[in-house]
Amino acid sequence: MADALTLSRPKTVEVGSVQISDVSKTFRVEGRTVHALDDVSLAIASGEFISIVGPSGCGKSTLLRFLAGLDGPDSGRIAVDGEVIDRPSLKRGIVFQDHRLLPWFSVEKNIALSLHSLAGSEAEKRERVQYLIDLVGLSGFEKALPHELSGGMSQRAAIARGLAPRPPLLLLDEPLGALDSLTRSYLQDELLAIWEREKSTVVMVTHDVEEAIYLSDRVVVMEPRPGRIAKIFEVSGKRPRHRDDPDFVTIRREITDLLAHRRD
Amino acid sequence: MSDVTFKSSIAIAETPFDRVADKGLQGLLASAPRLPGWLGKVALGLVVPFALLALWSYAVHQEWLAEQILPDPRLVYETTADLIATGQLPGELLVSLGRVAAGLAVGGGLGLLFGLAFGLFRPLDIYVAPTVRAICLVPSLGWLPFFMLVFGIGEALKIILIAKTCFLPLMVSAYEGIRSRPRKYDDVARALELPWLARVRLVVWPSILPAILTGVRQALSRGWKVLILVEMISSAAGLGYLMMWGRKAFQLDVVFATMIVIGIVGWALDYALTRFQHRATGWSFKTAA
Repeated sequence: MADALTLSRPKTVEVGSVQISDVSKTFRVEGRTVHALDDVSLAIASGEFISIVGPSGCGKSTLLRFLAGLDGPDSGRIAVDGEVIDRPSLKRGIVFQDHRLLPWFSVEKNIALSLHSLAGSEAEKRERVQYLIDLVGLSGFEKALPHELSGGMSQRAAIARGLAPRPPLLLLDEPLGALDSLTRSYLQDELLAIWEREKSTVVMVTHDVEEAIYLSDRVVVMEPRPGRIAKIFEVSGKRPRHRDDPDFVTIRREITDLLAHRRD
Repeated sequence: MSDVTFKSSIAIAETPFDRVADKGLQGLLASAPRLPGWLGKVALGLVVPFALLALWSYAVHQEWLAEQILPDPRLVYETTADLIATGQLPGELLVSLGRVAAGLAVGGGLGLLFGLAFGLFRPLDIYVAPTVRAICLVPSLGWLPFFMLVFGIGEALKIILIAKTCFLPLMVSAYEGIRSRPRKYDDVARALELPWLARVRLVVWPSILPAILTGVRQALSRGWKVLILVEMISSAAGLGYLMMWGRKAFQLDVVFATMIVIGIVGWALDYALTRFQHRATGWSFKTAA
């Protein structure tokens, strides 16, 4: 299955690196100024899996929307492979927390929608869609409408939609946040497998510290008011990781302590 | 039923609400004789009409009202059969359906355009919409004297009045559809780099289609009612004319036959549209957008 790629993309250059420099954003909420992001800088290497954790209001989702190009910062610069982001692009796939599949289209059509603006024949696109449906384990549900799917299946379809245009950078906004723990840990493993196969850079926003450590190369901990990066943790150790590994436990304690400390 | 099959194949955290609900309905239908699903529904739907028919026969038998006022159902049946056999009833029905179709096409189409325009362009909504709404809120019959003088009492008058009636439901539903459509899918459209036309066709239009189809249903049922009224006031053809003729000739059997046909055809039109709506936008009945 791994070699069944149809739209081949020669990987000659490293792509999907991110440079975030001095990014700030303020919102006006009921006459008060809220510093959603304050001078945030971060460099993400090509092929890296990065998680951003932090309490609500720390600006992690805002940062992800900037990366997607759905919104822009007040000041500072965000570039992917040296190119400043000024609007959304299929080179940056995004998966939202609430899957956001169009309820009037089948799974198949929802995924195909992300190939709408790409060159390529209908047959090629159909093949790509079918490959992704198989990849995320939705074979047999091609014609199903979103309301006929469970939460986990919907989210898998949304991930397939995000992956379809083969984005060098995949942005995940709490993609598993709304799922029960069983489905969730199952999809975490699937996500890892997909990432290893597709070799794209992944930036994931999550509430779940364990999930972040389990999946990522680095975990970025953010703090609110103003939204800043508190600390970046390197996670070493081969995947699949074990949640009861001493290293895993230590890093989890450090992060939860940091989060608890910042909350006061 | 297909959704139940889909759902049952999911092992994790599945609430069997649907199936419980299904059983509840089936429990209700179980008292009816074992028939295919749709046949059972038809049978249940006919219970009340037959009860009414029985009551009507009983009233005639007991002579609660004069025979000339409340005709015997058998007489009405014969008259109806007669009117169908001579081709008069189908002819009048076709005339009426044609008028409603024309009125719905003109008025509904304009209403749709106005509703979309008001929903999309704020200045239009602020400057023009209040006036248009106020004009629409004057009942069709209120416009009748003026329209009669301007358009005469010919075909144009009828179609204009039906069009005017069909205008408001579609304007309002298209407007509300645009206003209340889920914005979260705009992010998806942007992230997927959909060009303008594809965005309208694939993202915006499907999201407002359910509201628009509900508007069409309302427009049709209102248009149907006003059509009969208009035909009663000034016409030489159509169901309303037939009814008026029956009244003038003091043939209440013709009046009753027409009433029944008007009711049944009106119901059938609405039912067909509802079925179409479920087919075209079935998702909207099951998705909390």
